[in-house]
Amino acid sequence: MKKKRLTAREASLISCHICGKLFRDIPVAKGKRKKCARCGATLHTRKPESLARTWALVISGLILYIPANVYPIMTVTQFGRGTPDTIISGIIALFNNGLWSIGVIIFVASVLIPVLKLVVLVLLLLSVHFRWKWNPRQRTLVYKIVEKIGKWSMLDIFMISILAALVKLGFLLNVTPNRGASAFGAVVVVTMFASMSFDPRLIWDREHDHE
Amino acid sequence: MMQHQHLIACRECDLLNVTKPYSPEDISRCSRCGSLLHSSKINSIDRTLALVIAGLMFFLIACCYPLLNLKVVGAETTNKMITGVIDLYHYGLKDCSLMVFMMTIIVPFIKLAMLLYILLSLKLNINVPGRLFIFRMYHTLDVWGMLDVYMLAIIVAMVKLVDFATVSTGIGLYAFIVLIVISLSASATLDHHLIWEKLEESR
Repeated sequence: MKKKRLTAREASLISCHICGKLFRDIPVAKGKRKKCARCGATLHTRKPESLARTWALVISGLILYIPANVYPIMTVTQFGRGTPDTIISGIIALFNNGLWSIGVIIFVASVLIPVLKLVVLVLLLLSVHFRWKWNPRQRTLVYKIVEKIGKWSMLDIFMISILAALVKLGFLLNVTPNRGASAFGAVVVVTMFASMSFDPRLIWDREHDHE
Repeated sequence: MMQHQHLIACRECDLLNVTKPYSPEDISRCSRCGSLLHSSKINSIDRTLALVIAGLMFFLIACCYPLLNLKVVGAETTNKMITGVIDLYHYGLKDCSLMVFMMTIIVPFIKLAMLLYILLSLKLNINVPGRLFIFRMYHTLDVWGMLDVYMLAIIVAMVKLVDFATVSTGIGLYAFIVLIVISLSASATLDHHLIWEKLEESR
């Protein structure tokens, strides 16, 4: 008999998502949760309601992305004069001032990563829904990259907190944070939760169904 | 519940992989999707414990001393890690202030403290309560610690201010740089699988 490679689910096993220990999947009484006997985390064969939760969080992220870009994130006032900057206008100003190096860093962290993350998550969700033939190994890799880079979007928020605390010279030079920063911070947190709630094993489950 | 010591399920694709017998500095990957299954570390507990103790000391210094100094024609200001949080709060961005506080101070500190508690108890062979729960929380909190991002933010802020004013570095910043190196090394030397096994044995 040819040996078939089994997944944990096919072998009626559950691995703990925190500590990785394998357990036999035994049905428990209704209303009771399966708990990991080692670390106490709740056991799930797949992340609960993964697709619905990820869709909800991705859509929230997309909606929050609008105020994050429309409202200004901070105002630099020099000699009593200054205009509020949005994320995009701040980046353009950096390029105009010749600070292209940090312009690129902020562009990647504040524009490229959040947009890429939302687009990739939507593509992954669609690929699971419509059983696309997109190479599952590639999809897993893309998912892992998106999961890893997400936190770097907080760069702008941290920078604003540093500047707001440091640049307090009144009339001479002053930095004030604005409402847009809150919306942008919310985008980052929501999209981080979105990528956490997506279960990459779903990519492989569907793949297996074709065989 | 039955145990399956020779098998390990891939976290990314759920495939069951057969684990090799334990050997130090051994990295195993999933045979289907290539994700990391497990990597064992040499002398993990001692090394990580040393780094964690050093990390906590530098954390204290990084928090207590100024990170940057700013000078414009006679006027001077400094900032600490916590002043960014306080000022965001005063400017009315309470949610932002909370995020920065959690991600740059609370979570990184708690993560180090949790490791200290667990590793010290393993090292001294004393059974203290709540270790499994604490190590579980460590994994939950892991992604929300963002010291490395904060470091980049400091650099970007410095470059941005160079045109306006004279920026100089404070003692806190040097401690902070050491802290980053230490906390990254600590997560690199931590052998998760080993800790779980030890904690389970001594329960």
